[in-house]
Amino acid sequence: MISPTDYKTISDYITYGYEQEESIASYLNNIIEDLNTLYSYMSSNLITYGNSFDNSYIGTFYAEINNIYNDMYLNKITNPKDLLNLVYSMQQHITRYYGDVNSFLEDNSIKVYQIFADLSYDVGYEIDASNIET
Amino acid sequence: MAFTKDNIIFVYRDLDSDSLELAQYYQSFRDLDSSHLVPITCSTTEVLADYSAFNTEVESQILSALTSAPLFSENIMVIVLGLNVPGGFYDGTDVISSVSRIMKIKTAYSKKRENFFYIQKMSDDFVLSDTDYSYIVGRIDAPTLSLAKSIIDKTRNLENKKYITGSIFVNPYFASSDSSYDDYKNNIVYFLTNKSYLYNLTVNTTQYKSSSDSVFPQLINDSFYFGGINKGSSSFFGNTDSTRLFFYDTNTTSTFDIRNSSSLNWSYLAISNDYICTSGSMSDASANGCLNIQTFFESLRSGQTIGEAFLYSLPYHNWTMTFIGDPAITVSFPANGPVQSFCSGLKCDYCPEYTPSEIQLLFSGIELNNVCITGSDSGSFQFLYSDIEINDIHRLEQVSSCKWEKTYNNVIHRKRWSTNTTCGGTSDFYEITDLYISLEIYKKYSNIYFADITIKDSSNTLDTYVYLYYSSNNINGCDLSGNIYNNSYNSYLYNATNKIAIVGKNGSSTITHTICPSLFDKTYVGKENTESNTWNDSSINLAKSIIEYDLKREIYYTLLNTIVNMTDVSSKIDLLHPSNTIYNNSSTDIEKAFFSKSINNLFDWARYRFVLDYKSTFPNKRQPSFITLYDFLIMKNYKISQYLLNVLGLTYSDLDLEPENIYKEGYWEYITTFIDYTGDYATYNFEIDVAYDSAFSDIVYSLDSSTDLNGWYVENDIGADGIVRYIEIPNSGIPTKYIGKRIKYSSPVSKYLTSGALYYIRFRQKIGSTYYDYITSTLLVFS
Repeated sequence: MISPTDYKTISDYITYGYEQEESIASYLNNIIEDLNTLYSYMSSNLITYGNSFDNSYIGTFYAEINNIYNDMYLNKITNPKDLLNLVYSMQQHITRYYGDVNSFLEDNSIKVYQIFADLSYDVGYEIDASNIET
Repeated sequence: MAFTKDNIIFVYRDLDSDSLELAQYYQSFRDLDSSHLVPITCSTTEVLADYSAFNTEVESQILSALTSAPLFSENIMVIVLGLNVPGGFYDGTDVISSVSRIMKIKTAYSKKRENFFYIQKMSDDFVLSDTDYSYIVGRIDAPTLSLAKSIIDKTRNLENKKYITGSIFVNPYFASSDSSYDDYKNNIVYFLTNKSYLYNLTVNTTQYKSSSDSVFPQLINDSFYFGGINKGSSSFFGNTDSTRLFFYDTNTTSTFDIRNSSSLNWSYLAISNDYICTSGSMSDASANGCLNIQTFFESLRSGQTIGEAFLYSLPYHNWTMTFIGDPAITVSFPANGPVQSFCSGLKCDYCPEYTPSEIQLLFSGIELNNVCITGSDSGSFQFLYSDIEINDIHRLEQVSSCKWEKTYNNVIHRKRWSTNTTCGGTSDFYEITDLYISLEIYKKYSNIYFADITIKDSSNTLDTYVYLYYSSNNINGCDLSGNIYNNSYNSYLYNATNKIAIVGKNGSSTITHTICPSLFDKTYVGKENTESNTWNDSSINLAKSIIEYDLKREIYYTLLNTIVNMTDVSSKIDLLHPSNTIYNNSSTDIEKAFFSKSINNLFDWARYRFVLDYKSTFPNKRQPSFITLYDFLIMKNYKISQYLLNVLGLTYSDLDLEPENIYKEGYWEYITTFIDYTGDYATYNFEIDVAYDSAFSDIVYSLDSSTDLNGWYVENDIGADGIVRYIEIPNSGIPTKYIGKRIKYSSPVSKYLTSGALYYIRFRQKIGSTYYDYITSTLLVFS
């Protein structure tokens, strides 16, 4: 069975990884907001572009940033499948070899981060507040 | 302008029927509430003996009214001093104006205090909190009630007009024997040379004389006057059909005695000769106390009231300068933008009608400079046009059946449509196919600099008219008879927007169609600047996103290794596969697939969208249909992060870039806004701490501008090219006049950090040993 130390280490890295996903998305979102501001500026200042001197180059970039942002948001933040699989596997492992996850955490004085607790909740293992870092 | 009638009070002399009548006259004009008429008990002395007398007779009573019911809760921002209210007081030999002092009524009197708002606001609305620093104050006073009321009458007339129409008269060549005014006069000349065109009014100026002051013989059809000559007479004011709005003279006593009907001081002469506002000093303001002409006009053009314009262009409070007139006046200029020359055809609300002779005058005496369009002297009209749209230019060049004529003066690239070619046309046509020309025309037109554009015929005589015509749909050329050519030649002119045609014709004809300036109310440079800044920000954010992605991969690699190195087999079996999936899904290949398209799109944006700036940056190069990334980065003084290239698996040379185009590894910079903490004049220095941790217990660098200036800069201005220009912070620190500007720390090599690493940074301002709050943020080194 997994050692308490390894459990804590892995749960922390899952948290750090998830935070990185959020950071990646936040910078992409900054770009989207900047482009929205630019579009607003253009329209409010009656800047128009003709057929050839068009906005397709900005538009293409904007569309692609939106694409990868949405991909990040859907697959890495709201539904981070890969991370959830690992969390689920780890909690299942505990259940199988030890029993109740919260008992495991409590008995070994492990406190997990809130992000990990949230991911655990999403896969059906709710972690008591007493086992979460404050 | 962010105030209304509800923010205005009018101060009058109690028990003075004339003063009350004027107050009620103003009340009626501005629809003020009765509670906004504030009586004060004061003498009729125009200049009181000292501050103590002024405080008793004027200041304390106004302050009391402002801080008592009902006004204390009514957000007063504007104070108008009425008839027979004292206009100033002596402080030594200086005469401190009531206007200047009451502006600063919330703070204790101290002579000649720097104005917090001086040249700072201009286009920002005045808001209630600004009254902590200054009120907007004006004075309506005159020798007689009728003259004072006439100021209000003329103000009403002005506000019923759509825009001001009279000329701007500026005399920068005064005080020739006093070198202390040299900087001030240079600023006026700068305004005349670079800014005065913005107002779409005729600008008159004097000529420099080496041995004496210059003067205008007389003002005719004037709306504004800026000058600096000694006392005058009413004969200076000639005939006018225009509203005389603002008269300012730097003479040391120009507003000393506005109530003296025999005065030869300028302000009295101005209001008695139909000016509705005037400003000047009651005693010597010195050169550094004079109004800033550029700020004054810019504020008006930004829609601020004349009272705000006065405030923002006034160097000192509690000083000698005063403002006579209604501070709530707003004024519009003839066109809604920095364009105006001639206009008629499109019949917009802003465009005056011009006769052919007036248009001809516009081009008379034009010297040939760097742009010249030639045409044959065929006797029939010539049609020349330029297309600012890159791809259309490109396509034009592919119309190969026409005769080409290459260059003229190494500038023009043109194509000739002769009479019988398949290119059509019945006359000699010349297309400008050099984008630079069109861009220059566009810009020059926006700035109404036609001086370097002309059309000559083959005999090299200047007998050709030129004008521009704009269409939102098709290129529409007009000949000088007003015929619009938007059908016959459309097959060659393409359907597109934002085109400009230049049309010329030999000989005299009637012009009935010209450009409508209101269609060009935003300059090209401004557009490009905004867009390129967004490009640069996007480039940096993309680099940061990539760095975070790389960090994510490192975390998942460590996570995978943790599981691989576990000794327990059962857990390894359960966890290895999902952790391996996580790692594999953040691989460099996945990352490349994730980011590469957006990076390439970003580079394409640069290559194709900023070509119009090319020629101004590289005047000796031919305008291409697109530019290289290198050219773009040089043009804009940008760099890109190595991380953008790393993801693509490229080096800078693969993209034909040079090392100078890439941020040096470890370079970082920090930019923030200079904040005012005191509300008073002060000189600040700055500190930055960079740390590994958010608690700042492990600090990498502590930087202090008061001990080491290396790397510290303050924003000086934003150039016409849209680039923010910085200057080094001086040893003495940064004075408050830079409030709102950017402060930048640009790391020297000795202060580089680890590329891709995250740090914590905190910044604070200080005055001497007084420290202000830290501003804390993270610093991701994206270089």
